[in-house]
Amino acid sequence: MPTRMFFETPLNFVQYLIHLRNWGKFVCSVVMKKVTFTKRPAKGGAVQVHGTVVSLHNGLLLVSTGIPSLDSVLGGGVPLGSVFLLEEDVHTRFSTLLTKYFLAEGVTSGHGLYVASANANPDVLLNALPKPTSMSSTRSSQQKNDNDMKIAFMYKDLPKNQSSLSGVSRYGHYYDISCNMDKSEVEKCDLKSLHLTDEISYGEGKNDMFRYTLKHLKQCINNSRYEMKQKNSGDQQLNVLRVVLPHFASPLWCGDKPDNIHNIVRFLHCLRAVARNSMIACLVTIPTHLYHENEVAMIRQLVDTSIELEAFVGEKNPVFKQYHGLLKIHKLPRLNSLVNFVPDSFDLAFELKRTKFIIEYMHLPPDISETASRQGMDETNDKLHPRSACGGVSLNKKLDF
Amino acid sequence: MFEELNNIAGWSLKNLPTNKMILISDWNTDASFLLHHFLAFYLKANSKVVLAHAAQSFIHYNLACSRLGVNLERSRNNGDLIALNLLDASLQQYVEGSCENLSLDSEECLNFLFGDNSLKHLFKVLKRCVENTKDALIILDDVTLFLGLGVSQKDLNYFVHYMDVLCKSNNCTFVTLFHQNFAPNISEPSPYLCCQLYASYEIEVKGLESGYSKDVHGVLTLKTKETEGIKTYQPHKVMHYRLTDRSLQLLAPGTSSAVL
Repeated sequence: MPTRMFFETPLNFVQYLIHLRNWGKFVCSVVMKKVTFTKRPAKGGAVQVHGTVVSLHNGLLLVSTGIPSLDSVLGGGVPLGSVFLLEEDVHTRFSTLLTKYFLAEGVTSGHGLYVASANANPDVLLNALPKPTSMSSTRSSQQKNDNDMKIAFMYKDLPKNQSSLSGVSRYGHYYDISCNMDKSEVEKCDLKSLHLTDEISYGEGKNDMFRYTLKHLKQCINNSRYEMKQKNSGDQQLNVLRVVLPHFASPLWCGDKPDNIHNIVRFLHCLRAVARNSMIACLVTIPTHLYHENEVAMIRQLVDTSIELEAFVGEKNPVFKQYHGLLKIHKLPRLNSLVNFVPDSFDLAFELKRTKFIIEYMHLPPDISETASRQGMDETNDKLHPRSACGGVSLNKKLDF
Repeated sequence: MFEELNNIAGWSLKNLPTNKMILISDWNTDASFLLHHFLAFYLKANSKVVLAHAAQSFIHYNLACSRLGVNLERSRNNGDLIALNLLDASLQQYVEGSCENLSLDSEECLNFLFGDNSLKHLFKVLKRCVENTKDALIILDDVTLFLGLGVSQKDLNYFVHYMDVLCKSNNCTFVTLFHQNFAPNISEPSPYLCCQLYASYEIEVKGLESGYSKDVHGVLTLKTKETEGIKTYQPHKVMHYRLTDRSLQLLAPGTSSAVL
């Protein structure tokens, strides 16, 4: 193992540390030096960015989506430097809600926000963010745990892992969607928005709306605290920029040419390049029901995570009685490793309550034995197995041979 | 590298596949873990490797291969590995119209994105990289991406043909990844069939037909095209695989520990 290693970004140093810790070698020599030879409470070169947590599974830095149950399904959150695709439900009711949660989480964590929209003015979205409830923690700086760890001293400087489901942590907050967030909170953030109207000239025609957006995004990131290239000289604290592209690739984004899919693919490819070199987490929502299956497959290949919301519209199936729709996972992020995190089950459904949006594992109703008569079960059976067309009477008893 | 895969295919550090094209194809899944295998395999055998990556950043390959026991950063500094960062070059060309700050190699090969939309320049750069070496390996991640970016099927077929000729003339091996869920335009020859035509080995990765399982991640089929010798029939080797953080376990279908 070489004694001097060069890391392109501070993020990779964190990942390398976690990786070494898993291997159990050489952590002592790297971290101990900082602790014993330099007296300041150095973090050992590890990056500490508020609102992020190091993944338990693969050492990536994650940011929360704003919905703790979605975070746990994704393995902790959205990895930094990746593109998260949300395939919209037909009426965009729930995807807009998820976008708002993502932005609200950015405000509460102190991240920067970037919204580029071609349909509605981004301010409309930003004025209706859900309000954090009192269970969420404030943006206080991390209390340095100065307990002398005599045995595990090598872990002293590594960032703490926090469970995203607990409400007390700095990562993952709870929101109340029936109230709106104060505008003053939103304004405290570093907010950049782009509204792509007809008044902006894009260059060679409407197809260059994609290129214009990407250039604008790149300009915002260059030489700012979101770029990973700068050394940690201390004058600009590294921060996360949440990039949100709501209703992307909708008909307003695309021109009239038939090769739109190439423009979209090119944009997503370049967005991935931008994301890999910066401290950004992108959320892109696309109405994929408008596209052909193979085009959607191509789009999914260029993003890192892809989930789809399928809302029940007029669904009468009693198995789904309490839920508002299904959450389908199409792709989970596999960055910097051979395997990826997989949730316990893929049968997920979501429900919109009065004050919050939750995602749950769907369970079948309990299988009571056949002889017990239960009113609810009979109803279910009737609806799932409708009577035969011949008009025969359905027997409640099973025929026993 | 994945020892079990090497054993089944008959490859070893002394018996590297050369002069050949190896096609990795997948259907609705991601077979890029096999690219890491080939990277690690050839680097351990001290061959020269050219990695033209358009789908992921270099750091991804570096960290993933470190679990397999090779250090890509060190190989790049030594000169054993040439990494063509097509991802960043594509971004620079998209935003600025030219890529000046990147290495000369990446700049030229991305000229296809503006202009005649063919992969000629990419081919020229790859040829230049393997000019005077023997037993080199060229890895191209991911050929279907070019189809999505606007290259026509016909041009892609030409490119694959040129790469095959390069392999045979320069004694190098070409490995690429093809995602099968790209639907071809029927009026032109299908790029997948074209790749299959030139490839001497094809490793096809699919999910299980019965759905997702934690113990068996999918089906891996190794198809070999034997061109020398009298044997004209080589049955496909169908195996179930399970991918862990450091290795690939291959099992005969139905012999997973979860089943037995």
